[in-house]
Amino acid sequence: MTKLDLAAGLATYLGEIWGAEVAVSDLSASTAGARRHNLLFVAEVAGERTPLVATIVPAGETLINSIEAEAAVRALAERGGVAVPHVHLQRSDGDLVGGPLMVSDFVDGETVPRRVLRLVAEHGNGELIAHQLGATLARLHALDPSAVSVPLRTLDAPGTSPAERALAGLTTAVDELPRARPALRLGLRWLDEHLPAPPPRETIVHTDVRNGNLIVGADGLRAVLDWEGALASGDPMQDLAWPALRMWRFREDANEVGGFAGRAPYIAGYQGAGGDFDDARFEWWKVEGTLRWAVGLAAQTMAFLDGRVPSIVMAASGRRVPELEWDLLMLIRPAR
Amino acid sequence: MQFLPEAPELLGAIAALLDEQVLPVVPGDVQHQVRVATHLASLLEREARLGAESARSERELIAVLLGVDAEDPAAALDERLRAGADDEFAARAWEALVEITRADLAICKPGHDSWEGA
Repeated sequence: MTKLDLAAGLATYLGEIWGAEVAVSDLSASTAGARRHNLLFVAEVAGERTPLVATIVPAGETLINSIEAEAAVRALAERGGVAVPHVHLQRSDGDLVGGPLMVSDFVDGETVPRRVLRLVAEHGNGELIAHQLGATLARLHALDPSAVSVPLRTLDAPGTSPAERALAGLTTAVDELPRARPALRLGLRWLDEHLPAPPPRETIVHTDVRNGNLIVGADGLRAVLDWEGALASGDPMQDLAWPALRMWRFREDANEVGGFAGRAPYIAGYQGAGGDFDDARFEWWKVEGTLRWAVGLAAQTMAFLDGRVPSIVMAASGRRVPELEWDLLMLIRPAR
Repeated sequence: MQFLPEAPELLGAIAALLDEQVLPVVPGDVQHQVRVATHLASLLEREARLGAESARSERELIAVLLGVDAEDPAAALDERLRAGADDEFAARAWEALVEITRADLAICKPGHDSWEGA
């Protein structure tokens, strides 16, 4: 597919939505997004130029949520005051551009984690970002899940809590690993022994809010990206714990939340915006998330080994599993 | 029997070539993959040097823990933990797995074990 084809396809689709003649120019690949193609471009209508981003899911690539559901939860989040790039169009039949497509506003700023952290070091805005991130998550968790106009995926199993559902999924994943990993098994044991009470209320959860899926500028947090894995109903502490895992600190280990800051401003931001923070569930989901990323890396390597994704990056993922095993073991250190 | 160099020296040479001469001249969209390839060549170099000792030590730690010298020690420990372990055994397994994971990290990510929690 050439860039010319893409420009024409995008112009056609935007023209249908806006009811105007649209010219598309300045197409370029963005660095964000591993499985999806993110293209920056400019749409011009009657001399007015708007910078936009097209997210294209290659045909055949698995969608966790439909593109319509992803756009719907983003629209709801935007109305609820969550910083998210405004979506102009979404369509699952993006034949002219090679697969399902979403077009949203371009938001300027850094997304690549190390560059984000350089910017934070330069501007000293780590605590601000942690606070904003907490407040953003509180606003997301305050949304009414039934208000999403296109249903999101669920992991429903009647009578179970989100933690029980997550543990069941992880147990299956560890059972199915092609080589036994006893450190992960020990992690499952810990999760089982420390299973928390259900959340007072299940909420929409984004599931992948973290340094790397945020747009950050000198003024702090500008947008939350990558809503493809959103769940209709889960434990809000899952979302709080995920950005606090060591792997998203990118060597800034002393700053628990994304390498930005410690947890104090983050929790203050969450509670200040009406969120109900729970320490025991937060700690449980940190262990769960660490284990989940370990089996996620193993899955990436299986996709390489069976030929689905012939990428050296996916090949390397399997050799990262011990990093997660270490982080996991440190989180489940036995009491003396 | 092959002549010299052996695997660690060859892998070290490949890593150095990728890092010092290939990386600076490849297009931006390939740079990340070349970095990963460099990392993997270095990892394999360390594995060629340390792998046998790491496997021997893992086998020994698990044999002490389980009281048997299993053919596949990791699978045997996994099975033992899956069958149900009391806190005392789990604590001893944790100690052994910390040692085993340290040895894994010495190959795949030296320095990752400098962080010990929080």
